Amino acid sequence: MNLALKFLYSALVYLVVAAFLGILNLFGFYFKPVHSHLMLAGFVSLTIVGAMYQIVPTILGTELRGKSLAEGSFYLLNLGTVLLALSMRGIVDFSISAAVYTLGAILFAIVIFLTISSARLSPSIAVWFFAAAIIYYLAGVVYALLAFSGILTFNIRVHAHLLAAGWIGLTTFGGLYELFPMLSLRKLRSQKLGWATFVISNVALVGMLYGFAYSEKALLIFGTLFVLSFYMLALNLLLTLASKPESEAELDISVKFFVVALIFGLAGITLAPLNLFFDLTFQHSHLLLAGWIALTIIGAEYHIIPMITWMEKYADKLGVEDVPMIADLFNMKIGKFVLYLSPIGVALLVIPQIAVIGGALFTITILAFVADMFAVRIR
Amino acid sequence: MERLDVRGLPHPERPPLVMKKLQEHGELELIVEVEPKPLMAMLREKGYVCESRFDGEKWIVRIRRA
Repeated sequence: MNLALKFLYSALVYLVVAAFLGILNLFGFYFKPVHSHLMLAGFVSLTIVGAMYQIVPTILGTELRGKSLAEGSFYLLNLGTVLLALSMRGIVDFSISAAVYTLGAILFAIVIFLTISSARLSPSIAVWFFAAAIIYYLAGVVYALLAFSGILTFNIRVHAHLLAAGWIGLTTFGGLYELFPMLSLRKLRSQKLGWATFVISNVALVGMLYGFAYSEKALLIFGTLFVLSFYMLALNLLLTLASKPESEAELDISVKFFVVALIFGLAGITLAPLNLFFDLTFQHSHLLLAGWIALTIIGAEYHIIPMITWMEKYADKLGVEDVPMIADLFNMKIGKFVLYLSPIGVALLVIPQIAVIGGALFTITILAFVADMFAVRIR
Repeated sequence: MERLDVRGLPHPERPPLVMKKLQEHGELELIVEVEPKPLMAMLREKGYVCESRFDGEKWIVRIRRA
């Protein structure tokens, strides 16, 4: 199986397990650290790593460099994720699980930077976002490793924001800048606004990290700046969508997911500064991570998984034997079920009184999506 | 060279159509709204050479066997 697909499918397994643990957490069982790490270090991070292995060479018109290192990163990051979950239950020492995961992350970074260095085409905005995001990824995992080895004092807000905002957030910025115009068959509304988003989001992130450690005032200023950078991304993409399409093709299901996800992202990021005055951590984190990130990934996978699978399994058999078309590889009815119900699940999830109902509904849609994606391999 | 205009077609229908035309004609000039980078990358992996250019209105991708 294609390496990117191996990452994407293993990530989906973490998604299912983490979603169940999230539900148990809502029922009062304490699985919060395992849930969050299986979701973010497992599902989201492995999805991003797999997607970058596929997308970065594609954007740069080159091949993935260091393929054996990339294979190694698959085993280390998966092993590291499982060990991290065990560490959260006190079964494995944190310094071991963090070391394994960090080694996997370093291999991944080497592969991507080697690939970037062999680019035949000039890097787009997306590649700059990806490169910056990888630096935050390494910083976040090395920071945790050093903290759990007793070398640094651990500040969970620094760790969480290096990884959630720096690694996951900026990767998603970059991914959307590449995929949104391509899949909506429109030109990006403003390249300049895209570059401004890149600069402002990075300045804001560095300032926020300083603020977490030293100054609440700096945190408010730079946190607001990061919110501004998110608004700029959303504005650019929504104006792109509002522009005249290059053809009359129906809007791709992936783009519909991106738009819904963006609305959750706007809600979640707007709550961020309010977190300094009210405890909205659950709403802030779940609107962003379940609403924005997870729905963006689901949308992207409705394009990426069937397309890679078709090219890998069926392209050479075309004309020789009957083969399914790409649209036959996934079930559009399930796709629409997930598209319509998962946003309701996320919206209910962030209302404390009915969070269990929202979590259950969101988990059902996740199960439907994951089953549909696994069925792609056997249809 | 055979010309194939896929503008207006849904995304999932495009790669199979491109592969079918390539099998029939061996080479192809593909007309498309945005540069199809993922498709070009996958065709390169399958031993094709792809050259793309934007003519101010549409992308033209010339695809042939290496």
